[in-house]
Amino acid sequence: MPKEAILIVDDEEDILELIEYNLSKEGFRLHTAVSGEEALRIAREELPDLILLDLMLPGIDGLQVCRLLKSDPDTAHIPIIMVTAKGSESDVIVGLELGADDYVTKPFSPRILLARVKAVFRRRTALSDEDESSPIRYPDLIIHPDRFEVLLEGQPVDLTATEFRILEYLARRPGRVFTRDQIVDAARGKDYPVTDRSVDVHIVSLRKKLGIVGKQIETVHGIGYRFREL
Amino acid sequence: MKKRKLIWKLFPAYLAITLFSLAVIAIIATRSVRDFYYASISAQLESFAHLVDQQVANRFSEFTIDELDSISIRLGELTSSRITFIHPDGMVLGDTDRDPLEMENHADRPEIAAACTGKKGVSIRFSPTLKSNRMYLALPIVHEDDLVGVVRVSRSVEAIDNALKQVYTWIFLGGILIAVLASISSYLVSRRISKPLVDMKEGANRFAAGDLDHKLVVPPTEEIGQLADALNEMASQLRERISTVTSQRNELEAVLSSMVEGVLAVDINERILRMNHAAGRLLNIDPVKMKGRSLPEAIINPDFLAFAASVPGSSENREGEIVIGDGERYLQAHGTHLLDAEGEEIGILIVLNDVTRLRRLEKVRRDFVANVSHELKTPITSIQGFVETLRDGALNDPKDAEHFLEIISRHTDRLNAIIEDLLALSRIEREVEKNDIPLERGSIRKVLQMARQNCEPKASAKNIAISLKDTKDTQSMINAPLLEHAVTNLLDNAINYSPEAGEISLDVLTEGGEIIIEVKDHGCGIGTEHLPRLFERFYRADNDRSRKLGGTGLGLAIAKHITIAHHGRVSVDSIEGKGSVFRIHLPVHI
Repeated sequence: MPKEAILIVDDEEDILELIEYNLSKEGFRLHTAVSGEEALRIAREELPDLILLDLMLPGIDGLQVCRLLKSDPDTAHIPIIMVTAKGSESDVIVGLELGADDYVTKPFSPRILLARVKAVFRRRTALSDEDESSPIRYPDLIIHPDRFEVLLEGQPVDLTATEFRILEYLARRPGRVFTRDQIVDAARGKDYPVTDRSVDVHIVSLRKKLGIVGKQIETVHGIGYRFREL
Repeated sequence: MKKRKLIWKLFPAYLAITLFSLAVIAIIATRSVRDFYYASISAQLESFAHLVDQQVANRFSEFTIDELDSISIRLGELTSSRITFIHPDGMVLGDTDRDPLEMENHADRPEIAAACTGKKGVSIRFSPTLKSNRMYLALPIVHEDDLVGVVRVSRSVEAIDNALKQVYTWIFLGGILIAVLASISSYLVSRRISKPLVDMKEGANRFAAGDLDHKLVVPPTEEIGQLADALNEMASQLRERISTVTSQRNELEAVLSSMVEGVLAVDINERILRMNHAAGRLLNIDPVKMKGRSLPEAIINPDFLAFAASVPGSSENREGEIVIGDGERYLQAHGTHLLDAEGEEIGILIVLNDVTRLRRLEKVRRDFVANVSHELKTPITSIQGFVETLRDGALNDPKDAEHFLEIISRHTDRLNAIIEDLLALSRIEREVEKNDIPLERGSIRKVLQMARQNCEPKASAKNIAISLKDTKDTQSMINAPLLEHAVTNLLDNAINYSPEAGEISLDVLTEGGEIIIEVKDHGCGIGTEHLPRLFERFYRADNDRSRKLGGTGLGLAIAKHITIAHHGRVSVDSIEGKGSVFRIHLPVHI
């Protein structure tokens, strides 16, 4: 089976070479682009399975590329991992809200980048295999969305409706970072008004109720939350 | 109520009073005249009667009717009055004018009845016998204590009635004359009273029309004079107040219009009460035309309307930011409740501050932080990434290893260059701030020669010729090493952007009180949109190319700051595809 195709976008040739070298070792098929315009063109022509997108690009910048790709039905499904220098959390939040799947900050370890790439592919496969009502299983935690039940080490845990929705939303997409706004949108559900700061309160309460498993809900400083993979 | 002129109030009263007093006087006068007349007639009659009485008393009972009648006729003619003798039982015994036998019994006449009781009887009445008003006076005729008869003397009083009629006619004519005189005098008096009042009315109308400098003439009448004084005083106080209010308003207007901050007052119905020029300028509207208009009608900016709408409901002062156009201008807005003297809320007050410069500076600073982090993170990412790659097995391939090490070394150099430049820049900035950079008289030509020498190896590698044109040996106050650094940076830039075998010219001009060092290349040029920000730290017109060419992104910023240390400025002109000219302008005299 041919490995997935990845488009690497970075204006720095040495970094392109670094990523290329490490990903090609894993057998991925690779495309590279050094500008936003080139990235858009290749993404539309080649329809890669993943895009590694540097946000600081000459011409059309990375966020704009992300926005254009996510608003185009042909390319909206392509997962995007943003690559960015630290100190631009606001860009990361915008990117995540535009639909980017994850982000890596420079300087990054090629091993970690590889792990993130693999995680995105794994999540994609996992998500396509299951539907929204199938139970989510972790070693000490089982969530039954259809029964509205959470079992912690086999014992049911009493959660509020909002806490339950937040937990289900995060746990179904482990490793992926969500901004508070995204969590609000997911948890709002039918009639629960949730403000983005009250998300913090729900998370604190969730962590307390989930004990040791609660530590898997990580705060991503300046961005939001994610459910850590084990 | 219908208003009547003063004369129509005065005249009837005048007339009534004069006519009434005239009537009273006439009545009193005529009555006393008549009384006096009657009294004198009655006294005369009485003396006649006594006379007759004495004549006839002793022999009254002895006289016959004919004798008595002839006596009465004789005495009547003598006294030119009518004399009548009457028996106590009322029968007429003799009369001057008539035959006693024809006359009726006179017992019922009031004067006769009175005389029969022994007293004097007087009566004034109409005599049917003589057909005239007459006064009758009767006396008893007593003989030896017996009432033997009555003598009555009478005389016509027509004369007094006629005289009184004459008097009444005169009084009536006088009354008419008085009425005319009264109307004339009341007209004059009312004019005299109302004239100053009319004058004052006109004066007050002028006051009301705003002519407060007008002075009322003070009439001599005390009350009206006081009124005029009071009106004049009121006018002068009003004038003073108005001038105070006007000057205060002018001051306020001046303060408002010279304020840099935009000020906007809006009433509770969202109508614009007042807005100064600055507010108009900041919001791109004409403040004069907008007065009295409603807010949403005058100002379309949604940020502003949302902000204005949020002010009335909040208990404390509001602050907000308003963006005009597409980031063309940033305004900081402060909103407070507008209270009148009683503390009653009458609207809102919005003060606008132009913070565009601040926001731009913030953007430059933010960009700088992002740029520094990007510029430093890029080499570190390469170094860290390739070191990890080497450790993870690439070392086993000598060719890859060599290549990766070369990249690592290149990025180490670049990191070093960036750090060097950052340090240089911060040092120059610090020294400029402290005014710590020594300038001394020196040759600019020498500086240019040194800079050219610095760039010679790089230039000859690209086969580029650098010409130095300065023919005069221009001298100025300079810091030679720093200026050399600046010119070297400009030359290095020019070499980077020049094609193989290109030409670069280095020149010194003296123009408009400035010494201009000019570095001219025939390279690819720079887009106009980049020119204003070109000297900012890490600003790259063309990210990809400039980094590949080994620039740190700080060369031009350093050149700029060195020039500032020389109290000069930098400028750039460029035509895309044709080349660029970078200039350092230094003042001739410092």
